[in-house]
Amino acid sequence: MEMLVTPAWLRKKIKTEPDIDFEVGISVHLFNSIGMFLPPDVVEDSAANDQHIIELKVAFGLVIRQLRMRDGFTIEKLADKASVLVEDIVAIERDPHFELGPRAVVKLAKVFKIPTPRFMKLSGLACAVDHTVSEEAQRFVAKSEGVSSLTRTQRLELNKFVKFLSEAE
Amino acid sequence: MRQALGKYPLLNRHTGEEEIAILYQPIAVSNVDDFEKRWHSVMHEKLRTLPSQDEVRKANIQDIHWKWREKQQTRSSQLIWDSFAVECAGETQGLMFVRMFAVAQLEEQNGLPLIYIDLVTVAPWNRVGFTDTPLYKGIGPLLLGTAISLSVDVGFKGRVGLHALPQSEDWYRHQGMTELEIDGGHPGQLVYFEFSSADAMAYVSEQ
Repeated sequence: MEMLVTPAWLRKKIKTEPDIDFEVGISVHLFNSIGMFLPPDVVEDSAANDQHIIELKVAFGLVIRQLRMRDGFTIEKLADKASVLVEDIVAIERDPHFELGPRAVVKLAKVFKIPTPRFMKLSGLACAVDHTVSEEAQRFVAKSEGVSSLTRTQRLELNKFVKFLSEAE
Repeated sequence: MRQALGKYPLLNRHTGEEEIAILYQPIAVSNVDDFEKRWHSVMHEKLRTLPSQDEVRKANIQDIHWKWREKQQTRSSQLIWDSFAVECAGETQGLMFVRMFAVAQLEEQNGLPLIYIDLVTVAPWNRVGFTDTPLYKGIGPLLLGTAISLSVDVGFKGRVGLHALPQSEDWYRHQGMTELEIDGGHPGQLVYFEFSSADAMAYVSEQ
């Protein structure tokens, strides 16, 4: 590849360069708005937090699976719609120890039309413990079972939980 | 295969002297090692001293969560991605990932292909928001000039687009990129900037 910029060009640019940062990537506001910016290892009481996060991720995996079934998507179809790997969808649905990234959660929230902040908390990525989300998630899990298709009751419970996740905080 | 694209002078702000950096394509495992072993530890040390979320946001350490190793491993085998690293004083000082194809949004070039800058970051000790005494200057224009060079190289005539982080918006305005409305479809609601072909060529031609 031929470089169009030269050392002399860069020297000139440096002289007029403002002292401002220029990073490009996923926004801190997205993380900050849901209190997830502090990494888990600097949050106090991390052992209890770990277990709590696992419980949330169980609920998250279940929600993803049931939403997928509700909307008639195969795993491959959902992976394609959300632009994530098939194996990541499998892991999200089945492995609460799987470390998913915030971009995957944002994309899944968009596919299922659920507001990102609550979805992010349910995924366990948000370090700010939200007891409301936690309690509703536990209630939802308790009423759900792993079956290959949703019963009418499960569909009602899913819709109720999705409605809660979609409510403004 | 990794190649050195050239040697470029960065300004060491502490000494006022030039130091030579090497621009590489693509990002190598060694660059990821630098991110994980050096950048990360520096950011973590800083993070522990910050008293509030507001201070954390201002400190410009959003990439503390970015999974560079995973990106490097996954993207290195995918032709849709290219990447660049800036090394100086034996360390990685800047990194960039570009997507080889996206669609221009500016009216004058709407629908035409462009190079999309996906990730740009520098070592935390080079960041104005992170430290009162940032070290190297010049990495930003070097990487932006590199993206334009790549755009020309693949036939896109210099067209480049990106979504700027909030603290970076003024920098891209200063470079002469055109700002479009806040992109509601982009995670994080970031402002989109684009270089027209003419503006990009003017940018790299400035003497």
